[in-house]
Amino acid sequence: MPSWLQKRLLIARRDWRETVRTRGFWLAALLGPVIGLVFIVVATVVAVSSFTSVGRYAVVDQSDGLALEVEQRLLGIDVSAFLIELKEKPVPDNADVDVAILNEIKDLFESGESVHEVRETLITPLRAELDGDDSVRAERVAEDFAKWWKANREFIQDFSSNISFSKFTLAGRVGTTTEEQAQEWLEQQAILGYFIVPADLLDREEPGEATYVTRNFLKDDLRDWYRNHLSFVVKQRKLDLIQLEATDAVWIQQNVAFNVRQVSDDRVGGDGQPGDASDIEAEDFVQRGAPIAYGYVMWFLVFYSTFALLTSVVEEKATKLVELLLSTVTPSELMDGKAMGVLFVIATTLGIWVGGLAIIGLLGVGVMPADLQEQVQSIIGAIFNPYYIAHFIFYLTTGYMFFGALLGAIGSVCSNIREAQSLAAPISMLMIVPIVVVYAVIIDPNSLAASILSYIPPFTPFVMMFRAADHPDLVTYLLINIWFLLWVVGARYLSRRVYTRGILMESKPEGFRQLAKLVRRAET
Amino acid sequence: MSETSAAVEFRDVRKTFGDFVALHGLSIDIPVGSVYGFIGPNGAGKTTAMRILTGISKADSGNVSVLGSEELDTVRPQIGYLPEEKGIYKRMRVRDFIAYLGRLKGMSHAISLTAADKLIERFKFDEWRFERCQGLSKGMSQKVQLMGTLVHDPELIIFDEPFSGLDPVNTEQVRDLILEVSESGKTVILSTHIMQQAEELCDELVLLNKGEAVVEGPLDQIRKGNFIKLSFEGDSDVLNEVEGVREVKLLGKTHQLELADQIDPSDVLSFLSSRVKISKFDTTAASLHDIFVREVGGDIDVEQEDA
Repeated sequence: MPSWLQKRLLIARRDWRETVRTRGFWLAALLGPVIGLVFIVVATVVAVSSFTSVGRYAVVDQSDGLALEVEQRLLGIDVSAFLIELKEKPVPDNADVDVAILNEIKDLFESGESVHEVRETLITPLRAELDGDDSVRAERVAEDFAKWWKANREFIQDFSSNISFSKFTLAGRVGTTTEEQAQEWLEQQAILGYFIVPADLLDREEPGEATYVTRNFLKDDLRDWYRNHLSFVVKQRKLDLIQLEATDAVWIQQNVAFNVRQVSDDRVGGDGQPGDASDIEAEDFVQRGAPIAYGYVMWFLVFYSTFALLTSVVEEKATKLVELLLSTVTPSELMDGKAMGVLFVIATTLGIWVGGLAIIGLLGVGVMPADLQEQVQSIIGAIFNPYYIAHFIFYLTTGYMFFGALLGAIGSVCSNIREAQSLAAPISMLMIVPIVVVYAVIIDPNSLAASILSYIPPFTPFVMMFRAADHPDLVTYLLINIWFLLWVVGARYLSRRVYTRGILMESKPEGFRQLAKLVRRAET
Repeated sequence: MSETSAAVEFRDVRKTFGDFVALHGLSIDIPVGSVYGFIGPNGAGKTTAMRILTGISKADSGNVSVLGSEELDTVRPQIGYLPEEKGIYKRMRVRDFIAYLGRLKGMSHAISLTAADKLIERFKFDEWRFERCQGLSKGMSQKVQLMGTLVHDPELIIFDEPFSGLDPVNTEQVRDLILEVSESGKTVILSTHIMQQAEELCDELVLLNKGEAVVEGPLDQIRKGNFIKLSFEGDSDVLNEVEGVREVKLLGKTHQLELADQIDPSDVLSFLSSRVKISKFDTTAASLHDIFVREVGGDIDVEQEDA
């Protein structure tokens, strides 16, 4: 082994052994993924529960029944959605719900009736109730269904995924709510907001505008949802006014359907040849999302490891060991050895995580049905894409070297952890920025913001990892990486100059000005 | 090693830290196989000089030769250094720590362990061989550091304040060790502000003050002088009447007289005994303490640990 490497490896091995023999390391290595998983599950549950929590709204209808038509439309959509699923799925065996009516409806489908026909049969009493018309008489099955529909809303929400009242429900009876009443509900936080539907929405010359009143104007999902349905109803009225055939009206209002396909990328893999368009499947979503997960793991490891290096340097200085070591090794050997030691700790941590995943994967795949096995294997293949792994290793190493150089230099001039934390605060903030702006990069990896951030050295490793699924052309890609590597070399050079002098300093650091002085007077 | 008999040569070595001059053209020769003392007040430049000869710091100007080489990096493995600020890896075991320092000096794993075991036995430390360093007392930790300094059997051993923080028993052990090392032909450099230790151990020394060597050479030459220490009952003004007295100092209850070279102390005894009642009379060479005080003078508050 070359002599320049021997001492560095000795120092690295000692630091590595001392770290991996602590309980703290094993707790972090083993509990880290568990905590991460818990965090993801909790975040998902919170997101899902927030999505599924029902928001109430009110409508002050000043028009000639547009609000009622919106509610009629929503009812029609909900019943259709439910019937479509009922036609496809078996009737669930639920002890709490009387499913006899559902079996009757299934019989209607089996007798050849379409979803639309069945809906028109069943919906009459429900529509009449909305209209406030109790004179309407319907078939017995429709009356039973109407009662069942009102009594089993929770079951309906669970059974069918696209039911409007699983997201929003109307407060009060349609057409009867006054603005004062709606205002009171809003003040009591009984509703998310209320709409005022004016009388002149259909005016040809000066159409009026609807109003949405809310406490939280940033939460716009209710507004958008109601606006879509109200707009549809208004358009329908307009079509009626010009006496257009109903089928023509439907045809005109039909949105253009898009079949989303993706172009294969030879860098990240895919079924077809580069440039071919292919359908989007589950593993494609994983393939697009994997760099985000890699980016977060990398950010965590860089943050954790560079601050571990900072602590290690400060502790060695605080325990006065450093002078003894420097009589044996050069400051460069000591600094490099310590940096390598922490890098070995990262590698060990990753080894434990990957090993754990492999064991869980092997055990899990073994007990899965064959078709699911195939799907899981292709998802695992998408995650452990060699292209992403190469990115991860490159940016993790260079990112660690860059930030490790900065924090190592800071650690060398500080006598205790408190001083070091204070001096390292700006670096921590720099490291947090990529996590804050990551959303913009994920949404569009080749946006102007992503491109600019890629060239800013403290952000480069994280942003480029996040961009890995759709990174820029080869020349730009090489330029960014060469530019960043130059910064890594520069940071390590300056850091070495600070470390050489700072590590034996006993006075309290005066801040970054002092670091600049040390760079200028690096010779000890 | 070169043919010269100096283990260390400093030639006009200068070192500054900003505006502060730590060494002001220091020139000294440290003979091979000697115990050489660096003494001086705090901030005199002792640690700076030691850091330069261990290669930790670099001189701004001048020449430094250690064990015949001016390339200090090449002779590092032959130097053992025990700094004043003594640290230890608390989580490491005693044997591993000593062997680790040996490995950093270029020893193989097996040889470093064997050398560590030998030192542990020599220092009667077997009981703690596999203990973690964090469980050791300060004195015991210092012994471990000492073993780490000696593990690679260096030619030149540098002790910076080796007695600080040690109890009398451990002080005695370290003192014996330094003598033992010296007897084996190694060169020992000892920095201390305890004059008594320097007098007992050093063959030669340099007294540094403000980065300059104010006294340098063999101890017996440095201490050469004509002194009397006496205690008596009576008027102390009588001491002014003694012929050939250069200086009178009161050291507690004892007076110290520095006499001119041609004055015979027995004549002084005869003169004084007829005038005052003498309870103690002692002729002695100049102590390092006296020399220290004389040379450094009012520049510092003299440490009293050697009293």
